[in-house]
Amino acid sequence: MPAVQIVVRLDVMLARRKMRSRELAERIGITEQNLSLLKSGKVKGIRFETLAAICAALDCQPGDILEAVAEG
Amino acid sequence: MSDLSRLQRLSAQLYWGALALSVVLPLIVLVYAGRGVTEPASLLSLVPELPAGTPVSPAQAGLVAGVSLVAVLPLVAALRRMVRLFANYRAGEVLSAENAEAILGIGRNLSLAALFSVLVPTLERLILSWHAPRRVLSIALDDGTLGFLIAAGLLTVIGWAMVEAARVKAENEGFV
Repeated sequence: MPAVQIVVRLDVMLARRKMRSRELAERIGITEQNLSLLKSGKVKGIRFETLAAICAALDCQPGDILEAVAEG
Repeated sequence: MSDLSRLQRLSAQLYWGALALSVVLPLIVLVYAGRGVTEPASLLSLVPELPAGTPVSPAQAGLVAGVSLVAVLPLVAALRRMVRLFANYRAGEVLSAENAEAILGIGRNLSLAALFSVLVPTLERLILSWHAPRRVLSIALDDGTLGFLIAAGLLTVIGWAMVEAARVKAENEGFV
């Protein structure tokens, strides 16, 4: 089975919705610093609660934010 | 008053208590051991079963002193770890890997100290009765020692649980 990694495409959705990171952080109730870490993929994982809040705020599906890409 | 502020307040007091004990306890044992070496006959009070005139050689007195000094080491090690733990608690740092390791270390050292509290009197009796007409070998296990062993074991188990809790906390911190 080919190895895949999960890439966060939050920047793309933010641009499509014309929303700033600060506004999204405020709406979903996390710090800008944590949102920045999430955007850069420097976190171990994302809670369902956070993912649901992001999807609600950006009116999208989890698949619009997260993408599995082949490693290497 | 919140649990954290209560923890900090009590830890601040316990910090000084543990620090003072960690310094005073070895000194007391040193004085006691030194007295035993300079006045070997005084050691006979440790073994009431022996006749008053039983000879105690300097080597026997030295051995008893050595055993006493070794026996106090786990207690001092536990106290030193308590000092560090209470300092962290006093500063408001509660659930950390360092504190969990400290609790585990305290539990292990106290378990060893509890074991020594059974073995040391046995060894002292045997050493002091070596030249007596009848050697004494007895193991005493009272309810205080049993309670000490159980409390030390409980602390060790709590230490393992805290290590696991600190690991889970660190893992959770990687999630947003």
